Amino acid sequence: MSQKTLPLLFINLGGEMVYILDQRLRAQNIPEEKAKKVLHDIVSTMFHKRFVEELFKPQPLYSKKALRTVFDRLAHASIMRLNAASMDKLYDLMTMAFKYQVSLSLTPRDILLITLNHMDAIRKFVDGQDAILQQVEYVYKLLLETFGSMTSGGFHLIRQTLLNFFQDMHIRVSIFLKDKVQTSNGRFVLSATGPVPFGTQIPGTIRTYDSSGKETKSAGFPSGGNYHQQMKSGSIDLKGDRVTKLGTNMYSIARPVETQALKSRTTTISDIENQAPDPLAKAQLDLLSQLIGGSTTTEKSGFRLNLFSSDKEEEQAAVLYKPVEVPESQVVRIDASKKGKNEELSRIMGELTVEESGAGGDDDLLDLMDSAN
Amino acid sequence: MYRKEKPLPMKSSASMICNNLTILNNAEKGFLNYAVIHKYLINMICTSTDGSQVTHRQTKWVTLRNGRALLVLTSLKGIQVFEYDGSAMVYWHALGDSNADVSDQTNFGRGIAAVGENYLCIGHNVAVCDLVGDGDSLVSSDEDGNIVIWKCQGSSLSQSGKIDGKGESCCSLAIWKGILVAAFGNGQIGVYDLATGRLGAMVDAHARWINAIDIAKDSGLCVSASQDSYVRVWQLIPGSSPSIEFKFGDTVPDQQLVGAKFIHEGGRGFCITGYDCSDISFFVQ
Repeated sequence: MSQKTLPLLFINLGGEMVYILDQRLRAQNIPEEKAKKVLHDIVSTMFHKRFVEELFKPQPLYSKKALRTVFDRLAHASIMRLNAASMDKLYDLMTMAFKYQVSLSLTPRDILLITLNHMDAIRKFVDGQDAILQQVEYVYKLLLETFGSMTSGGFHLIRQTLLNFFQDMHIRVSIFLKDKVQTSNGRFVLSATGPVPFGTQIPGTIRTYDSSGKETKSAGFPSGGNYHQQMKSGSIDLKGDRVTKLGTNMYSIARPVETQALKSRTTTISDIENQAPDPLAKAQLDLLSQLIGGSTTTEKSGFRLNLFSSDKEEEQAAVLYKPVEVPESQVVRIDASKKGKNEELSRIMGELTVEESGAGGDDDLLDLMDSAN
Repeated sequence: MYRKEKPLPMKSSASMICNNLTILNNAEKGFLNYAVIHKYLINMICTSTDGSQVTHRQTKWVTLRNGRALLVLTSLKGIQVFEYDGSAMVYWHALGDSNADVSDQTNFGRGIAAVGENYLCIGHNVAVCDLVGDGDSLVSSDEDGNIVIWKCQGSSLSQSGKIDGKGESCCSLAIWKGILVAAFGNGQIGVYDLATGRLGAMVDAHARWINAIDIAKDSGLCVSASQDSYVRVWQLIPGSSPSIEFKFGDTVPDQQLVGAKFIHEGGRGFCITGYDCSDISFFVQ
């Protein structure tokens, strides 16, 4: 499994989160200034320089649960508050949207273009905010450095890693059901029409060669699909044409964030990994999520955002969305926010980080956390 | 030519991994064994050929968490993990159940897939994607589509041929009667002469990545399964310039196919797996 997947997962999920929040902020008639502040705060936290640098270090993906914690913190990085049901729904919509994009990508390399679509949109959201724009530009730089010259095989491995991360998630999303790109069992529709990846041939031809390498015969066969060739490949330039629409904002006033994400949640085998996450990975992710949480402010003129169309619906969902009880005996909860109060815990956390990434750098991370607090 | 049969349910879904289905047809005992990877587990199913008995078993997969390349091979009674070292010597050791039956393994060729980052061996300088063996021949392919043909003499391997890639991963290989079949990430299937490495035919076979191919040993039928949801059956034609003909094609709607295997040496039936789907689909004549 690819060790370079985490930044792509994080940026794309973050991008989807920004789309959804933007749409809900408008739907709920939050004053423009406040709404802008929320999105700016979230983007600026998401692309905190040190945090982003941590993300881009080669590392395995963490458990779904640990990643969810990070986004929980991120969503609350500003003056906006979400209750548990709305947060669950936000996360479901984000993950299914990105799963859809990865599933439908024509070629593994499209994942970089999808990421750039999200980045382009984020850049527009923070237009005029020079400090945040600088952060965004830095992420572009890291993305192109890390993935710009990656081979098709490298992206293939990333795609596999992402799809296996999303495996067994079959939440039905109304906007997909309406567009008929998802079936009622939560599976995405694979069309046998449309473009083939740039530079590849439309299926249906067999070419035969003789011993001197000369083509002797060309025969056809029925391909069943109705494909056409793509004229242009997506550009990874800073302001290039990505060609693919995957990863762009699919919400608009006319196409609101649907409030009835249907879900059938059953515990499957894959939950095993959620129940027993790698403790080292978890400790480091706790640090990361703490870094994000560090800039959180709890006071100010906060407001509550509802992902559902009415408060009543949200209450009902709160019951439906009750998390599946899973045995947590193997999970050691480390609450980094109380670090200062518990010397033993800080000591253990210190040891864990040293083990995780070797010497150097880690003290800085802890310092940064403290200063942020 | 083929019709769909009732699917066989597994306990969990198939992961997005190339060649994610392996079958052991134990004709003597009348059993068919299937194994499909689900993340860190392997779904093992055993059915009797008359369809009367089905037993499920799940076995833990030795994970690739450290990013190193391991070859995982499933067999009748356990799982063996193969490791490939830098000197291109293929050696292997059983890490499966204590009762793993090593004698089931007569060659390297069954259901092996390996991918690792920064993984080197002589002949390949990018990650190896698949291996296939037949008699004393071993063929390996990598992410850039390079294919290397090895000859096995005693305990040593020597390189006997190389087919240069075009930058498209070659994720699945199969050998039959001196024909090498290779499936690529751009949806093409190459048919080569195993002895010389010469191209006999190139097929624009699928609209997306091909994840698996398999050959029925008694008939030379070849099945290919792709992320475009299509499965196709081809007839291989041996000769100094081997060629291939189209026989059959069908789709398993909305499934990105990850594994395909014949259940019968004559090719009278085959089965396939799809990403995120916990059914093994069957096609029979």
